[in-house]
Amino acid sequence: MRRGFHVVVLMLLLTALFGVTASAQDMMYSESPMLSSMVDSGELPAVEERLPASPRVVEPFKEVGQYGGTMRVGFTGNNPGWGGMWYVTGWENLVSWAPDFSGVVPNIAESWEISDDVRSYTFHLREGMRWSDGEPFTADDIIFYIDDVLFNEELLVGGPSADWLPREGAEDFTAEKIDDYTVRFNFANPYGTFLLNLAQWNGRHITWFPKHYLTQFHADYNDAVDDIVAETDGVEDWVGLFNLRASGPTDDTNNYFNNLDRPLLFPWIPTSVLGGSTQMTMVRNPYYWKVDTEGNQLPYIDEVIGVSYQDNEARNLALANGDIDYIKDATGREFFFDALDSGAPLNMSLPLSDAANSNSIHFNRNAQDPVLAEIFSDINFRIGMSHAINREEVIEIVHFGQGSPAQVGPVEDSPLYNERLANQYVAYDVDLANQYLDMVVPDKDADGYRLRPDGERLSFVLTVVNELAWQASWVQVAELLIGYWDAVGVEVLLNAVSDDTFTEQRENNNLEATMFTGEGGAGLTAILDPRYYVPGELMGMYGNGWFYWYTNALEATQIEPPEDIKEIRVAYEQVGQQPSLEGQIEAMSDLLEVAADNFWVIGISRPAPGFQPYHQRLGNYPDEWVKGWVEGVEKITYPEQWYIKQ
Amino acid sequence: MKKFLLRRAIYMVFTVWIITVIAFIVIQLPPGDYVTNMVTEMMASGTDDIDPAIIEQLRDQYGLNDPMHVQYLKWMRNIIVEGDFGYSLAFKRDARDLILERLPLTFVVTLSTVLFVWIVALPIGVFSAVRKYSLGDYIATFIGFIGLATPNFLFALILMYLSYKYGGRALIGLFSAEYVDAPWTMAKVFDLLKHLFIPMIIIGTSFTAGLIRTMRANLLDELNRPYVDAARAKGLSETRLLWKYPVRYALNPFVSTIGWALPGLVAGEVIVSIVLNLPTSGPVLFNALLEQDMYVASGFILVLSALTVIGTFISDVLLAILDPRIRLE
Repeated sequence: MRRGFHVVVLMLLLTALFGVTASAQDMMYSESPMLSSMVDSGELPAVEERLPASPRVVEPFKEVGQYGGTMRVGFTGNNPGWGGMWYVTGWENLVSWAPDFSGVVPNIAESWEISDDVRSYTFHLREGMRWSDGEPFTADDIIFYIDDVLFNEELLVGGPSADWLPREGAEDFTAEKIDDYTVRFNFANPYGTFLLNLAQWNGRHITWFPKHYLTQFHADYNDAVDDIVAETDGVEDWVGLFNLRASGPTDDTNNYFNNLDRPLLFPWIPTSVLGGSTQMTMVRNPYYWKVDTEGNQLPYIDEVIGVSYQDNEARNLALANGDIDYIKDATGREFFFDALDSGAPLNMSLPLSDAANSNSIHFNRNAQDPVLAEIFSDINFRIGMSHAINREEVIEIVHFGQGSPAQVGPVEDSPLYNERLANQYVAYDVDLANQYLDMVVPDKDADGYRLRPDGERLSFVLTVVNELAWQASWVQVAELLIGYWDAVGVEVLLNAVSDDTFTEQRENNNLEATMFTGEGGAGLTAILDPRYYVPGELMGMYGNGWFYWYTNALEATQIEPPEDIKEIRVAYEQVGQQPSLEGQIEAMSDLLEVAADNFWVIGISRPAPGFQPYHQRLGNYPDEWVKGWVEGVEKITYPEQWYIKQ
Repeated sequence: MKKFLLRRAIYMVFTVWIITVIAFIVIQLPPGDYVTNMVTEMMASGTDDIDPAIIEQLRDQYGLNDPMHVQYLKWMRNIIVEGDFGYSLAFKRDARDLILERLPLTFVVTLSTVLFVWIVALPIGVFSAVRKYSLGDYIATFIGFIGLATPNFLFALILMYLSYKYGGRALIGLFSAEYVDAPWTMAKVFDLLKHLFIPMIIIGTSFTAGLIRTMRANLLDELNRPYVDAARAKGLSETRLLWKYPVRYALNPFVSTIGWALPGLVAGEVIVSIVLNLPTSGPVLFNALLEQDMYVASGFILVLSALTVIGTFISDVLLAILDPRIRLE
């Protein structure tokens, strides 16, 4: 899948320039029997009237599916969206990823044109496309978002800010309606990676706000909005009310699972909220605007039930039992392979992680203790610490032998692969480690621990988050690391904390050393999520204060980066301004050389191959896929074309 | 008696009031608030930078910027005047609805567990006392201690795994899938009873051991009293004698701890409910505390504490009725 990336890079370029669409003209449409009976009884218009003139055509992954059935999805916790329902039943943007992650393809937008200076993007929407309540979706909805949400000074008090909008020049961004189905975006600076950003979570807001429904909650449109505020629980002004009803701009998008009458563009829409019982339910959107290659309106599956579990083990057992069909982020590899062997009604898919590494280890150059900050800034210290790690042993003990020693860097078949960045300083060599550390902190005390230049023992805290399923192995890794570092005379203390405490510590810059994920491996993800290659990004905790300086947030935590760091940021901004993908890759490759020189973070291992169990009755689920946040996790598997085998 | 009841009622109101203050303050002690939590969640999932001004705006929107005593007074006023427990920031619903939806099943689980504990512990306790140091006494004591020593969550996981491995189905939840959202029918009640015994046994075992030992010790004290000999001398049958006098006295500690049983069982229920995925108040309260969804957490704590206080009151009154030796003054 990833091997074809070079070829596909070209395809992506072509797609980006011309906006290819599949032809759907002159198609005969069919619909789910559940909907035909509603059409017969006059509750719904005919399928031809519900679909846009040219619907988005999705090619089924394996075969044309069957209509009907209820899919049961198990999630942990009390938040259906983040628990997994968002990735399966939501997430539709102007463009989407091709199923093999080879580039972007049209989605809500039927086609687009890009100006030569990549400042201006013109999107053509699908004529006749409708919200889930049957109202038309047009350019007005997008313009409503830009004019009345993004640029509304009460809704966004700090000026226009959105994940898809570059900070630089945000004020000068404009959008114009050409006609009902055409909008043009004009950016202040060249923005070559806009489409790639649009395919991700970052792009969600542009098509998120149904104007016909939301104007009643907007002070500019409804003079009597205060009456609604008064009779609504939990809000104090119209801004709160708007956020509650729209689930945005500042409120969490996934709150829409609590609001049953909000129109959506998604394959399934919620019909009950989670509360008294342990389930929430969803039903197919009769106005969903995608069809398969034979003209069958998607999704195939009629209903979705989200089952809330408080604990992973119960969820795993339920899946092995056959009580549910799907779970996001399965844990317990051995349990599921055993269950598979002993005849549980499961199939196994093998997702490829898009990550660069199982972990990244950060030494905070902005640490509050200036002596520590000085030591952490010395590359020889980091090289020494890296050579001290027995990666083979970590892989054996923590990852059951899955993975190979590596630093944090794009993977081999990414066009951004940098051999040095991926493999430098990975050898386990205690003598070499000591040599490097001796260059920085040569003196030792009576107990054999190294002394700082000020004569105190070199001792610092490694803060590790220990809360969610995907952080489960981190403390174990940290304990091994502390052992290796102890062997070279560096005293490190473990502090395992909750998510909240971790955020507090980051925001107050109380971190000394810490550990996090390893994003930026597959394909172009290093450009899209450069946190471990370009300092000053969120979660770049090797320079924790710099991010806050760049975002101008939390004044007390801000630390102005030195000039050389600022230059790297400027170079990164230019990556996104390159009009061609080749140009972007070339510019980013130069930056990755700089990252290799600087050795920002230490890595452990390439991520182990993933596993994804699902119920046998689920059809059209891919056997292999690229899994990661950038790809929309499950969304890249096109859940609207999954079906239940009858 | 009237004076006693009145005095106790005043104490009760006072106690509940103190609990509301503590509940409300303690929940806000950990670092951050609901908005911090929300921002963490949004950032962890990729939302880039969130402007501090926007964070302030969210706090305003949720009324978290008021000083704590103002928040408390607003909360109390709404409960007393309107019966409004506030608003769940996480569920975007009335906290009262959430509490009311979850409490009934919590009581079903808790009360059936109390019954289970009594039905098991009383006869065994009596038996162990009467047949002191017999094989049966040792076996009962041994099983009781195992139950006491096994952590609930481990016991739950083991039972779940065994039922999956050998019964073909893991017994998770309180209802089968088809009944979860169904209206109440006899079939649904029957389905509930089928699922109920697992949590009942798990939560109950740890309490039975304690009660067996208490019952045994109390009864042993009583069995050597002269009035037992006197009754026996007057020709009362052994069974009638046993149940009529010593057991009745030995029951005192049971009755006086009815009130405490409730918080103990609710606390024990939290972890078991999380593991077994029961739709009771435990998991919601637990998550509300983690997420700092303060009105839900405070509401649950308030309701549960109020019920505990009332339970203690009832057990005191019952005790006075049961045992005339206890004076109310």
